[in-house]
Amino acid sequence: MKIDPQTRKSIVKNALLSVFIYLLPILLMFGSFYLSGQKPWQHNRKTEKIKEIAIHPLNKKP
Amino acid sequence: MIKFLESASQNLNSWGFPALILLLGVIEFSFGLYKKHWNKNERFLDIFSFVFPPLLLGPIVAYFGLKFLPQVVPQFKNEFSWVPFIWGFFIIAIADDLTQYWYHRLHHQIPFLWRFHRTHHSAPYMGMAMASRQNILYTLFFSQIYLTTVLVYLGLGYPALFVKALKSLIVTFAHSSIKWDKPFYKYRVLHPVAWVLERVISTPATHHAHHSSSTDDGVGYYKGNFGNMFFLWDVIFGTAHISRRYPAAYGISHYEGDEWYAQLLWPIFKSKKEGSELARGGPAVKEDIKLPETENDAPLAVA
Repeated sequence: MKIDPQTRKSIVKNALLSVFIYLLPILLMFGSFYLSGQKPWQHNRKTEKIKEIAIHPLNKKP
Repeated sequence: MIKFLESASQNLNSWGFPALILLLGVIEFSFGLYKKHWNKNERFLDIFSFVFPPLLLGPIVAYFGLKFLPQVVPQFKNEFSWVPFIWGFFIIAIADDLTQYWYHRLHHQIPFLWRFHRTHHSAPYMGMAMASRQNILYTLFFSQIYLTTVLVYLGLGYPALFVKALKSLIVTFAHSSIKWDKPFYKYRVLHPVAWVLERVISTPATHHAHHSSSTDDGVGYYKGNFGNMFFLWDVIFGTAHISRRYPAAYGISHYEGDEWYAQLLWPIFKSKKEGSELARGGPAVKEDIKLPETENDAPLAVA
């Protein structure tokens, strides 16, 4: 049994629209960062770096 | 407040949902909402589907998240933990639920896939008994579970906790035979809320329509209403049928009462019911049997 051509067409059309919907929250998030000037990923990297230094064996007291 | 919601979500995601499903199931059963349809075959199928998937799927998902991903992409662990909670919530909610919408829709619209999902629709009743009822292979390949596990690995675990709890609540109550949405259609003052609710989330009315044994009768519509948590996908993609009435009959019009093992493990086990979609050489999709016109529940309001 084959898929109905009309259904196939609507699946393809809706799948393309879905790609946009998947990306929408990510685009809106970066839009909000752009408007507010926030760069939370940099803060995250700094925190990671601090953690790395803090747990590095050379920085531990004997 | 967030701490309360966090703890509520944690409890729901662990012991809360099985307990809620059992409680709702007991209430439904006490009120006779399964209408004598719950025979031995259906009972075994439903109980097995409720118990088995968590036992099977839990270790698989745990292996995928805790062993497989750290081996394959160790550098990405918690890489996106900087994503603010609210955006993480939307990213997870959309990624998980839209993926499930597609998984569900394709199992209805691609004839080859229908038989993997048929078990969920063969139940001639709605309620907690059938909410988890699925072919095991359908459950194993639940694509949204793996996508969400990847997003959790990338650092979105905290918002995922809330999404999972909210989604489970909506989906559980949409399957229940307790029609919690009725008052929203009955009282005029609640109509604006009903209008929004039935377009955004799955309600018993719209999801029961999806499980109707007939379609295109103004109430039932198994050709659409594929949304799980969000009904919005159906509205956007034109697969929605908004009804404020409930179908007179549920299930598949030509249901032959296929053996529980065939419903759980088709195509490994086949049905012995001649002419069934699950039988050896059976049709991939069988034509509907036109049922004689029956009286639906009295309309509470017109959509």
